[in-house]
Amino acid sequence: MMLRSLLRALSHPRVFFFCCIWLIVLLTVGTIAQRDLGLYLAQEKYFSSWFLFVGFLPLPGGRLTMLLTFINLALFHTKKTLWRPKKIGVLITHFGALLLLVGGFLTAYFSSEGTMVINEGETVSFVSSDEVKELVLADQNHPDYDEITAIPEALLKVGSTLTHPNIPGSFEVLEYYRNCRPVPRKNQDSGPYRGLAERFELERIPEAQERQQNRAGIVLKVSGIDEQNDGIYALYERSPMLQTLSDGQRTVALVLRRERTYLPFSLELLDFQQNLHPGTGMAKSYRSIVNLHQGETSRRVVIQMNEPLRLAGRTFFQASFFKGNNTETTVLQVVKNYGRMFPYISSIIMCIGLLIHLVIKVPGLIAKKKSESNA
Amino acid sequence: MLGIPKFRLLPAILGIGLVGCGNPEITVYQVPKAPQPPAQAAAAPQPAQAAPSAGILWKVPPGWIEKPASGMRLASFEMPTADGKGDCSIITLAGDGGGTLNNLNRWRSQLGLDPIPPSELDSAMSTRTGGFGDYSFFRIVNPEVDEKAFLVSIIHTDRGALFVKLTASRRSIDSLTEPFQALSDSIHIPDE
Repeated sequence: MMLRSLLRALSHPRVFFFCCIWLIVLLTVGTIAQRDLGLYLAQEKYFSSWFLFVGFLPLPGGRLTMLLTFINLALFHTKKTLWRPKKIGVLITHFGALLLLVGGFLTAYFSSEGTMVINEGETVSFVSSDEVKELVLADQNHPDYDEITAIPEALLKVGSTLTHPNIPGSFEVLEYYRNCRPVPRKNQDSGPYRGLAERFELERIPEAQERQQNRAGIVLKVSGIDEQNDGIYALYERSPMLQTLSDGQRTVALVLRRERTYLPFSLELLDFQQNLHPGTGMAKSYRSIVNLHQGETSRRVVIQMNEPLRLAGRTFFQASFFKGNNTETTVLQVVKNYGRMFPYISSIIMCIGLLIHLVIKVPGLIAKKKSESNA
Repeated sequence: MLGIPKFRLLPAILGIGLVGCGNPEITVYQVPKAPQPPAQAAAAPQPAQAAPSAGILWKVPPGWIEKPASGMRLASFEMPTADGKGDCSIITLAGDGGGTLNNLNRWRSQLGLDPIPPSELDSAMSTRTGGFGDYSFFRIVNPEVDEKAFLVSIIHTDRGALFVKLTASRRSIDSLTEPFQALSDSIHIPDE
């Protein structure tokens, strides 16, 4: 009985109406907040969240609002009274809106963005995530390859204990920071401290507006190896100090870094070219001339502004570059988005639905108008 | 079930199902060791490198890129930092190089800091031991200046004074302290 009432309530047109108004409010507030928070923090707080807290008051976030809209629209299609020829335009339009939300969910959960940084003459076969980190144990003892054990950020929750055949002993996550800095150690109560943690501790700092500027950090308690290696370790992104761990049989390097996704092909930067507007120092265009190595074949590809490389479900955009004394480096933005076609397809479907509804309704409206004016 | 057509539950199940996907797990894979191009080879940990004329050696910290020496610079290094890059140089000057306090106050003025009197010199520096024995280490930071901060080592030798100076943003200076000190500690004359 309760379930029936709940479903009836969720299918009411008022749900759609209030969800749309709330989405407009979120969009307005989130857009203004972006000025101070930056694009990604504002997106996380207002649009990608389930709940938004104003003080202690929880309000629906963008994700929850869109889920309710999806359920409402989907329940709409289950109403038998709507499945009539005269309502076909309405059904198609609502289906288009539903498809738009499906595309949104696919983008939210299955898309990824990252960067490929390639020096001239270098070949790179992985994309580094812009947002997600990983803790990696790199066994570099083999002559031909490195064996990488990657622990995703989602498993690095404070209080969790990590075990795996490739992890020496066990790791307990004591602290995890999305942005931090190393400061001289003051607290010597716990311990023993190893490596960087002997002289430094990590201090949480506010997240940067540009997420690439964040420096994640983690403090781990390692147990179960031996007296020399058990202890508390601190790692942070881009640390110049390499942390190693040994269990007597092998030594592994511990690194906290942006999550890498290895591709079934590699890109070798042959040349980076920058064209300036004549007589100015302003860039007109950049382009990367790369060798695409795919299996046994290689081919020359040019990636430049407005002409990305599309391959294997990913799009490689020319994003940025930097110049050193002796070398140039290209930065490619790599986007994988399964939902990228949904806005186009759903917009076309909604237009078709509206047109059909118009064609069905207009003759009747004209006839009604005529009879009213005759009366 | 409750007299509700089952398909009416489908949207809610689909909606909740869509948001509940994906279980993270630890993955293991192998990455072939690739030959390093010259730029990366320069950045890799290097054995001690001879200075072009001074006959002294040092160990380049991992991740630092050594650039060609020029002018008074025996060595130049560049290293990536969280917000850009840092620059480090080793130069040699005759005698005591103009005096520790004079040089310290000159660097302080570059960051907008007031000079310090001789009585405060000892508290402004720390003493470390390297290839030439004890040397002085300074961390010079102005909390109101974000774009620049300095780490400096002054090493007195019988051939003159060696100045090892690193310039980076204030945010990056802490993370560069250990490798900078390792570089300073490593400077020595090779055994003949």
